[in-house]
Amino acid sequence: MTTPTTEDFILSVTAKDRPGIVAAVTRAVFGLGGNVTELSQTVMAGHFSLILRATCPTGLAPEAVRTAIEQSVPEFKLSACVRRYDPVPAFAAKTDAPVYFLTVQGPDRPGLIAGIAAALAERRINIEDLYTRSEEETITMILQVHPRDESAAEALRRDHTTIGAGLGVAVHLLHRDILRATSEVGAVRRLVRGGIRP
Amino acid sequence: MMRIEDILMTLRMFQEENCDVRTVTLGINLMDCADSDLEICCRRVKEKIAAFGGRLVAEGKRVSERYGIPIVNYRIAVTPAAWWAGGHGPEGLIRIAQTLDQVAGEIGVDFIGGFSALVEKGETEADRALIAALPEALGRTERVCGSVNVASSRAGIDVDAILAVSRAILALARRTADADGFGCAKLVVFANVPDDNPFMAGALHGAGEPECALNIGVSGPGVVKRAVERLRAADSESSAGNVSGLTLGDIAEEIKCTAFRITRIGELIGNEVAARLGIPFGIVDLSLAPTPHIGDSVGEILQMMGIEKIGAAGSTAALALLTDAVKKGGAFASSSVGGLSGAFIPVSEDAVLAQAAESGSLSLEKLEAMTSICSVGLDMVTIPGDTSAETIAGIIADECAIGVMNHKTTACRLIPVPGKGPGEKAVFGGLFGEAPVMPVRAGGEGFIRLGGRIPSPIHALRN
Repeated sequence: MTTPTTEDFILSVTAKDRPGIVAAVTRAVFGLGGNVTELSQTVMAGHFSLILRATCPTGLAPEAVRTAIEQSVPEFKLSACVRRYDPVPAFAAKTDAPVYFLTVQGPDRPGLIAGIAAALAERRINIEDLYTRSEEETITMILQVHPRDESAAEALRRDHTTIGAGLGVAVHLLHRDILRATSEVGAVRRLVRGGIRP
Repeated sequence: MMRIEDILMTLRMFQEENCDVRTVTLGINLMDCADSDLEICCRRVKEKIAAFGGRLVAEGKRVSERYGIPIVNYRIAVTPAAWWAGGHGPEGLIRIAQTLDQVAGEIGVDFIGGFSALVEKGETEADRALIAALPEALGRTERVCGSVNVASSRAGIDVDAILAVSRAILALARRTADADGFGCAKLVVFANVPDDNPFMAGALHGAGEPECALNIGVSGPGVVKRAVERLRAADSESSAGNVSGLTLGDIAEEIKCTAFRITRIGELIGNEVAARLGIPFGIVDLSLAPTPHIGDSVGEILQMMGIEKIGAAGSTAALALLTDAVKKGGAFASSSVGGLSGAFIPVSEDAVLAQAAESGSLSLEKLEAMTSICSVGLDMVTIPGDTSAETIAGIIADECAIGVMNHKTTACRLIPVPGKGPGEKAVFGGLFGEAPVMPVRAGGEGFIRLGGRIPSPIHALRN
């Protein structure tokens, strides 16, 4: 049995947005002998946020990676968090569990996101993506959610309007395949063949 | 990455714009149910329909719930009854209709179509028996729908058959006089009948179809109307009182894209229900099917395009634009497009069309012109109860001529309302709505009485 020569890290980086941050972070990873294998980045309210997965030579401490990134361009004032990649998922939905978009629309107020998230957590439903937009007094939230299994999905279909009513907002569900069917040009049959459930 | 506007737009189609799957129709071949013993024939019919269709509603509801898409109707279409049961004569065929009605009720579908005959080139004894049985068969049953194909571009127009069916229509109207002749809403007279139409009352499972197939009829007039409405609002906002940049081409493009989305929903639901039943998926019928509800009207789409009064000059062109754009969007969305695929303009089932007929802006003649480019024909049109069979036959023959000469499906679903005349109203209720009795022009009876067959047009000789 051979000893692995590389290991993966998960890094997240935040800072005030400006040109050059991605270049600084990836150059720092490259300087450590690492290779970026996945990366997702967004900017919100003028602040930059990035999460990436990198394969690095064994023996590197997470703290060394964090220091290399934060000191790559000091004036950027990067704030990094680094941990070793753990391939064992903390949550795994069953493959036949449907993915939904849950939309929330109504008057904005403190605690609304927490209320929705708690209702989903109680029902073993994972939030895979979340977007919110506030305009004047109104909030629109769109959550991509993945129930753990069909029974959790059924609970969501049954309860979502009640959850919304309890929080004073309108909550609707949209199956991901419906969105794909109406928005993508690929054949619908592939969706069904790939996703038919008993 | 989530596409926020796409998500909200798709959601709006169901929450606000009445988008649904109008019908999931299971086509079943019943040729192997034929038997000289009527009892055996009826037993085979019940067993086969129950075997293929027994899980239709349950599986459809599961798919509907899973995707959050309403499925409004579940239906069965069978092989034209004249082909496999016509030998039992009119009385036997009435018994067959009652059997179909019973099994349809047992498996939970609202209509079963295919009490039909195809007689465009002449009638067999079985065809004659079926036409003779129509008034009793449709009048005595709740769920059975019938149709007769009396013309085709390859065969011409069978005027004898048209007259026989017209007499059956009058008899059926009299038999259901207490419901304003509603029985006639379950009978369609076709030219160029399609073999895979999922919509009632004209659904049947034609020759060349597989043992069974699942066909889908989508809806969506409300979605198209709102799309055009938003386009116009955006144009008003951007032009801010200056010259509008919006053209009919822009509207056609918007309708095309909307039709794509609507069709894809039908394709998705149809494929999944078919897969769950373990049967082939047939077709998506692209027809925009209105209901009497406000916001679910083909007439409203035309109004949104600038036709203030349906029937006014420009109405036919607007309908042509709509129908063509729907077909283009739908054809790109699915390679399984079939059925009628256009825009239905059933007068009683579309509140705006019914209002136009009532106000006099939409005449029977203008409606006929519009049917030359819509998906079907004179649909759910109420006429005076004392209209003669020959005049009804003339209206049907006119509609057939449009279909035969233009190589398209046309049809008539005419309802003579017993005891009522122009200016009075027929009320059917529910999705069938209500409509004013439209005046008809008599005077062509001599032409019909000549009988025989109008030969097929020269351009039928394509080989």
